[in-house]
Amino acid sequence: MEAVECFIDCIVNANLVIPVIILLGIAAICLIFFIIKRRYELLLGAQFIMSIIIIINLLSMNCYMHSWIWIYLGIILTGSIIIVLIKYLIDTYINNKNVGSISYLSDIENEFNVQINVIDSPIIRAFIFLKRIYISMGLIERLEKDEIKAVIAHEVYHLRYSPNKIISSLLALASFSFYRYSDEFSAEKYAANVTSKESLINALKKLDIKDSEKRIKNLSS
Amino acid sequence: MVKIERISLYKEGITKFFSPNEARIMQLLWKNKKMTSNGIKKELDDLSLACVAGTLDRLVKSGYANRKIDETKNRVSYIYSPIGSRKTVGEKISEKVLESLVDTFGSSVLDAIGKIKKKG
Ligand SMILES: [Zn+2]
Repeated sequence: MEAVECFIDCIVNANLVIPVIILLGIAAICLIFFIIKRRYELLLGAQFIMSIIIIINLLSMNCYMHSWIWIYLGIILTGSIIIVLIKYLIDTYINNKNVGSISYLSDIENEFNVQINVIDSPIIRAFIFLKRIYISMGLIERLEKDEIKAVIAHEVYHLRYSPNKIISSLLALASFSFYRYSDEFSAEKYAANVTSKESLINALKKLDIKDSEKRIKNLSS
Repeated sequence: MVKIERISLYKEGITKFFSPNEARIMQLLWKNKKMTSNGIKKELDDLSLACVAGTLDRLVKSGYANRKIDETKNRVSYIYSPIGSRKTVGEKISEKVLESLVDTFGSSVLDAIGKIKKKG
């Protein structure tokens, strides 16, 4: 009991009540989400709690180490600003180049119950952003419809099952784990299952993207 | 691509003003008016589709070609068309070159043109 009192004394004296409450609050939210949703991104929440425990340990061992907590909050804040800024830049880029949806893709949209937007550029890209799938003209031009469908299915997997990239990056930053969660292989398996392995392999071959050979090998095994 | 500092007078035809690949693609566009990148790739067998697409993108960005999205029942693709005929592009380039010559030599450029006209 003495240790707890000493600890409370210490954070009160060092003016750390508010930051400690903020950290514990965020940790609690992470924990609740982790319990309810059980998604991978929230596992990072648990790591987040770990890092808070470490900080609390630092504090209770030596109150003069309190500057660490400010440095930690500073790093999270700067990192978050950078992540949000990148998101904003991507957002404006997409809005500038987005031509909306094309009726050619409406069958695929209906089948997966998603909205597909087309990026007006000859580069080859497919990604998700704010619950929508974006696919570039360069990619559409090169593939047959069943191959496009396989690529969309891959993105549908990310949309439905992959952790949110921004939240993951924030949590990875906060927990200092810098862990990059990758479920490309699961997305590929999913696409092959709901469309066909042949279409997906053909798409990978035609697009000539990096790792395509490795990905084809994974699918065939 | 028709930048004054890139013009190479010793080269053949319009490669004086365009890179060899740009020139080949522009010739095709002038000839056929409307083409897809796949159509162009078929004519220029030695180039990769990525190279054709990249060159077309440059031509679009520098204002020599136009592209719009064409949607048919079983295919969506870009349709590329030239902006201006070979003649109007020729005029545009000539104007640019002459402007720079007049800038340097003033009225002697016009005298030179007069001489050429007499010869022709
Ligand atoms: Zn993916």
